[in-house]
This record gives sequence, C-alpha cells and structure tokens, in this order.
Amino acid sequence: MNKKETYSPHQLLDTLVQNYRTKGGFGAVIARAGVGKTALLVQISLYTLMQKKNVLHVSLKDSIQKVCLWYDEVSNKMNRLFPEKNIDPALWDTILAHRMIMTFGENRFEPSTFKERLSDLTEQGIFYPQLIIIDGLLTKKDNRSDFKALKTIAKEHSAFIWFTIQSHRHEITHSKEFPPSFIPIKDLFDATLQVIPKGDSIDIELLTQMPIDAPIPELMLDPETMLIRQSN
Amino acid sequence: MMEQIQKLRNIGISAHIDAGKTTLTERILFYTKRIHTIHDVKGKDGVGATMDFMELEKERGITITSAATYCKWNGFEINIIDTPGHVDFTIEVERALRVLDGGILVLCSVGGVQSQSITVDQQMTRYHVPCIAFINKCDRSGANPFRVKDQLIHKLGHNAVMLQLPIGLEADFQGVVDLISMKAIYFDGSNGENIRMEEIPAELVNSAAEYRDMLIDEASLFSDELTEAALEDQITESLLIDGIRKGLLAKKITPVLLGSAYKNKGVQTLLDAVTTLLPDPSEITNQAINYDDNNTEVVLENKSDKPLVALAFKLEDGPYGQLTYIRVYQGILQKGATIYNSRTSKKIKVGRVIRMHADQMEDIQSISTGSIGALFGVDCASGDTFTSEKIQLSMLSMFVPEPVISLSIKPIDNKSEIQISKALTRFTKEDPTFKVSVNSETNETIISGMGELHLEVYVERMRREYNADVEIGEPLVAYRETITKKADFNYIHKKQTGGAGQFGRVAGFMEPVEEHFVFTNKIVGGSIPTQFISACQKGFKDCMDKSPVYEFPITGVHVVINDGASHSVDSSEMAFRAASIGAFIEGYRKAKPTILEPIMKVVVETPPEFQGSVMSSLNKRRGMIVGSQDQGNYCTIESYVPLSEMFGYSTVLRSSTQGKAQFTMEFDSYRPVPVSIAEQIKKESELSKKKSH
Repeated sequence: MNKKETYSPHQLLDTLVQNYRTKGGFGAVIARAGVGKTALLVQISLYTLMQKKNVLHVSLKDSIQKVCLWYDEVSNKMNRLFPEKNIDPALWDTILAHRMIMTFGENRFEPSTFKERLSDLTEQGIFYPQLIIIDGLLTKKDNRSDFKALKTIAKEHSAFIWFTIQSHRHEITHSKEFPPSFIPIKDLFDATLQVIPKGDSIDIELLTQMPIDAPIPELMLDPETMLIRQSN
Repeated sequence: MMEQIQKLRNIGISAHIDAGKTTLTERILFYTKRIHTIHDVKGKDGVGATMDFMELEKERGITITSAATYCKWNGFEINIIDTPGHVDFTIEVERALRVLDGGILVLCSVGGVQSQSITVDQQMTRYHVPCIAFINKCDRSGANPFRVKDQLIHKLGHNAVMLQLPIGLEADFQGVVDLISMKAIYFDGSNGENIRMEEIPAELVNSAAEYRDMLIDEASLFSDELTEAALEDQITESLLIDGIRKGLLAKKITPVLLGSAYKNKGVQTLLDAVTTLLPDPSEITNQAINYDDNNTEVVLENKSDKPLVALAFKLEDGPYGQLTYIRVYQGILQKGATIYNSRTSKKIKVGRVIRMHADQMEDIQSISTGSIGALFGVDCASGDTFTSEKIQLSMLSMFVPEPVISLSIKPIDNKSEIQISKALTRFTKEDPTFKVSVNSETNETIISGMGELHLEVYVERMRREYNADVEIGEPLVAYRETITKKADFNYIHKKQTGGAGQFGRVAGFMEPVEEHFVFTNKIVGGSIPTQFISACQKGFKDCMDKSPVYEFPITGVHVVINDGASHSVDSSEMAFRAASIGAFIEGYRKAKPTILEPIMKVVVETPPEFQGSVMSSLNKRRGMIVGSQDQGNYCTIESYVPLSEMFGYSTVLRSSTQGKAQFTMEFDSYRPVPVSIAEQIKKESELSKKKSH
C-alpha cells in the first residue's frame, strides 16, 4: 500500500482480522446501549462477507429472524449510501452462503457449549468461520475465565472474534477511557472501537497495538444511518 | 336474541400432531353427553375417536378432515371444529380459524411448544383468534407444564398466565388447583365424570397464593375495578374472571389450563373456561367487502333482523351429496329461504339445514347469527359468500398457499379411471390447495399439493373410498425457467405455399424482470400495423407456458418490440403470431436461460446432541443453513433446502436422531439451480420424453 494513502474503514478492519486471526485475536466495540453496537458489528461482518470470507454471528439477545433483519437493514442502507459498492442479488447470495447465525437463549451461553457447537460445524466440514461476532456477552467481574476460554477457541479455529461491550453513561466521561467492567479483560483484546456520541456526531475511536503503515483514518458513525464513514 | 348469542361459542382446537386434540375433543363430547362411550384414537376397541371419522384417520392416528361438531355445556352452545395438526394440512386449519371466535391451543406437557405449534400460533394471530392454552398429558413421564408455560412466553411471545396448578405430576397427577376459586379439583369416577372440590393441599398453599398474585397482577392491567378491589383486598371471582377475559379478548393474556384428556382430568374445567373466558360472536368484529360500493369494507352486525351474510368455509361430498359448512355472520339462514351466491350471482333455494356431529347429522330449521351449520345440495365453491339480497358482498378472502409438489397418477383399469375422475372432482372442490392437471405430452394426470403426506393421503382415499387402484409416479418438483440477461431478436416468418402467403417480421429485445411476463410495444411509424400487435403479444405470451430449452414453464420475462415489417397481402394475425413465437425462441436461447427450483424453508427441532448430524443432513441436501437457536434442552435449526432434495427426509431425520427430531417445511422462493444439477434435470427430462414416445 502506498504510505500516503489512508486505509478505508473496511480495509483497516480487514487488516486487523488478518493480522490477529491465527493468534485468536479479540476486538471490542464499546458503546452505551442504543448507540449502534450491533449495527457496527453487522457492518464489520458485511465487509468480511463481501470478500467471501466466512462469518459466524453469535447473538445472545436476538432471534435468528432478528439477526437476519439486521443484515437486511444494514445492507439496504449501504446500497443506498454507496451505490458504487452495490450489493446485487448475486453478491447477496454469496453473503448468505458465507454467513452462519447461532443464537443462545438468555444465560445459556457457555464457552464449553459454544466450543461443542463450533466443533459440530467444523468437524463435519459444514462451516469454518474466519470471523466470529459475539453480540450481547456481558462483562462481569468474574467472567475473565470465559473470555480466556473463548480466546483459546478462537486460536484453535484461527478466527478473530469481535465482541460488543456495553458501557454506561456515568462510566465514561473522557475518550480513551474504558468501562470499569472491561478493564480486567482489556489485556486479552487486540483492538477496541469505542463509539462516543459528541454533540451531533458519533465518533469512533480505534485503539490497537497493530503496526499500521498508513495514517489511521478518523472514523465516525453516521447518526442517521449508523454506517461507518470517514470524518471529513 | 342477544342473550342467545352471548351463550354461543365457536371454537377451534389447534395443536401439534399427537398433542392429543382428538382425544380431548372426544372427552368434551363425552362430558357434554353427545356420545355415551369413549373411544381412543388408536383404541384397542377398534372403534376410534368420534371426530376422526374417516377410516384412514383412524388407522394413522391423525385427523385429516376438520369435522364440525356441536355440543352444550352449562346452557352454552359450543360449535367445535377439530383441526388437523400436520403441516401438510394447514389449509384445513386456516379454514377453521377463519370462522372461529376463539381457540384452544393444545400443548403437550412433555414435548412443549414445537415447530408446528409455532405455525398454528401464527395462523391464530393472522385471524386474530384469542386463545386459551391447555397443557395436556400432565400424567406422562417427563411432564413439566411450567416449562411449557415459559416456552409459550419465550417462543410464541404470549403473555401466558397460569389459571391452574397441577396436583402431582407424571404418574402421580391427581387434579388441579383452580387459582380463581382457590380450590383443589379432583376428577373421580371411571371416566372422571364426578368432580370433587376440596381445600388446596397444604404443600401447594404457598405456591397457589404466589401464582394467584401473579394472575391478579396481569388481569388487573385490563380492569380498573379489579385493581381497586385488589388494593382493598376484596377480589371476587367474577371480577377476576372479567379482568382475565378483557386481557384475553385483547389478545394480551393467554390463560393456561392443565390436564390429561386421556386420563379424564381437567376437561370439564377447560369447558368452563371456554364458556366464561372465550368470546361470543357478538364480541368479534367481522367485515365484508362490498364490491357494489367501490370495494368498501362493511362491518357486519350480529343481528337476526339484518340481511343475511354467510360464508361457505368447507365443502364435503358425502353419501347424500355435497355438504356445505356455513358460518352465518349476519341475519339468519332459514330452511326454504332464497339466498344468493355473491360470486356467481346465482339464486339458491335452501333445502335441508343441518347441524353436524362428526359424521352424524341433525336436521334443524335455521342457522342463527354467529352460528355454524351445514347445507345440503348447494352448488358452490369453498370461500363463497351467501347473501339474502342480490348484493356483491363478500367475506374477506381466505389465504390459500400455492402447491409445491406434484405426482403423476395412472389408473390400472377402466373402472378405476372413472372412479378416479369422481374422486378428483370431489377432492379439488373440498381442498383449494389440492390441484389436478393433465400433462399434455405424456397424457398423465398430475396431482399437486402441499407436501408428500398431503398427496399420499389423497391417493389412499382414492383407494379406500372409491375403490380406485392407481399407480403413482415419482414425486415431481415444479421447476420453472427464466432468463438471466438481455437479448435481441429479429425474426422473419415467411411462407409461400401457393395461395395467400404468410409474412411478418418482429424485432426487439427481451430482458429479465421481477413480474411473470411484461410486454411493451415500442413500435413507431407502423412498421407492425396496430391490428397485429395483440397477435404478437399473444404469440410471446403463449411461449411462456413451455420453454424451448428445458420445456419448463417460463417466468420473469420482459418483451419489448421496437421494429418489424409487414406485407400488404401476406401479413395476418396468424403470421405475426408465428413470427413472435419464432422471435421468442431466437431471443430466449440468447438470453442465457436458467432453471429455477422451489426452495423450502426447513426448520428442524432437535435435542442439541444431534445438532451436528442434523446440520450435516441438511448440508448434504444442498441446504443453506441460516442458523441455529439454542433453547437449552433442544435447538432449532433454520435452513433453506431445494424441494427436490427433501423427498424421504422424514425417514432420514428419524434414523439419524433416534426419532427425537422433527421438522416443518414451507415454500419460500424459486432460485436458480446449479449448472451440474441443471444438466441432470435436462437429461432426466429427455429420458422421460423418450420413454413417453
């Protein structure tokens, strides 16, 4: 890549996944409730799916139908906003073929169960995820061991996992500050995308240790569509 | 009159197959004294349950035809429609729900909410039918009604509230605690006919109080009087029932009752709930469309002095001629009256009016407002509306799904041929999802329906009821073809064989489109004279019935004609029609045609330990797995699978999951088949063509 050229948001996210995949990389989308964590994760997933890479979307709060609706909604908005990257019916079919959804009822998600389900998929050659999205897993004082177990699973399957991490209004007052519940597990993560509403705009701050050979673009969430775009 | 309608209930009993609804109906008929002995569905006495009157139903233990029946309980008149539980017969369920005011959702306390229950529940929601849940089979090993209640909440989104608590469970199931009267109810006698009410057993007193509080909390949201009474601690039974009823009618509460129909427990209390909680016809708003008045919606009034509006919701061809099941929405339907079929505008004289009780009937003088009955000898189709005046009033049409599978049938002798024809005429009139056609090439009779079992049952019925022996072919998938790119055509049809010749040139292009067929005329300057344009359109449209490539029906083509030529003497409609056919064939071959196949949405419910093998079985069938939903002791797998790969899947699923998994399947969309499969289909169709010649 030309050093003067900045990364596009999806190139940047893809580079992250590629660099950390084999090491069982972790990424976190940190935001308050209702700010757009799921929409952001679905976009990350769609960027990966458009490159014909497999994504396993794990939801701990929504049903399969609801997750499908998220994808329909976000892709429709992407089509409207970026007609040049039009997701035509053929590409959509490819996306669906590379996507698998797994949902767990409340309090039913255990790393051991997840490992079993994932093995069901891979051992029979049904699906090998390159990116896993886990939406709705809560960070608690005592579940560092769960995240560690998931890290082992990610490493075994050479997959990068993006999580949603919910923060609370009173917890974060400055940028680059993490919710207290996240701090004990912060070391397990290779990248964080922090979503911070600022006046009329919603900024996205990327923090990563990954050496990047080009300037990191300033990202924001379009408040109307909840799509990622570069700040002007 | 008003009092009469308030004491009327039209209810349906819907559930998953084997949840026990036919047994439940049988017990209801026994306790309401419509029958005097009890026969079980797969009974040892060889009689079978009263509602399953067809021989085949008795043998398979499934209910095929929704028999309507009438009974009385505590001065209330109840019309019950027993509905089939298998997905292949959903049209029966749909029809029943159309005319019902309330429903009983029967659930198995062991199996819980299964995929078919979800389908049935969606149907109830579509027709806004308020329902009460009856958790049956509480005597079975593994019974857990509380888990089923939770599933009602989480899987079906119902606000389920317990109206009863079980006294003992599994083999120890003795009776129920009624949370309204706060009494324990036991069902004594050899058939559970003697009700004994006692104080609540000491060990259940606390939990009964806790569940009653929950019930009051929910019901008070719909009744201010109940809230006030709760604050003053002066709740009466009638106030509580009133609150629950208001919530139920608004479809915001689903009261849950318990029992075991097989062990004769909990049926009478369910009947009490039907009469006290479910709505009477006057509490439901029914609308009709007035075609004479710009298709406006008319609200029907449940008054006998208003003009008649009635709906024929089911036809049956019995030994005494055609039987038409009718629900009267407005006015009164009297024997000897003259009524009009609003679809055909034909005048009909009402002959015999009857009330059905499974396969027995009782002559009556009239069918009153809100009630259900049947007529003899009325020529009509299922879904027709009858009115007393010559007005174009029609009840909202019923949702009829398109058939997805077909089968060729062949009579083995002449006698069978005549019988088959009789049987098919009857079946197609009775069931709008069952269709019959003739393959013009092979001359075979093709029957189409909603699934393998659906067609199997009709073939069986031909054998049993009509003594018609038939040979059946392999199930056939309804393939289609479409084009994938734009292509030009320019075709000259020219024939000179002495006398007047034939000449026509048609040019333009065709392109893919969402609709079935679109024709656009862009001819300027009269290169094709206006009088021949419709012949061109007809020529192109005729080609859609059978493709020149794989010979399947075509869909999704936009034809544009923009040039052409004619001859003052030799051009004719016939010549341009022929030219259009030639042009279509020329363009179609260039437009990269592809075969489309029906894709089914397949939902499998399985214990989690078989998830891998179920996914693998779907994967092997070219299925696209959308995802899996973990529900603890079972999981749901959603997928899209081509119909052609689903034949015999039930056997495969049973053997790979020790019979513990089940699936439902419904048509989703048409999708292009992969090239290798297209080749195979082409070879097979060529082979079958050779065979038929």
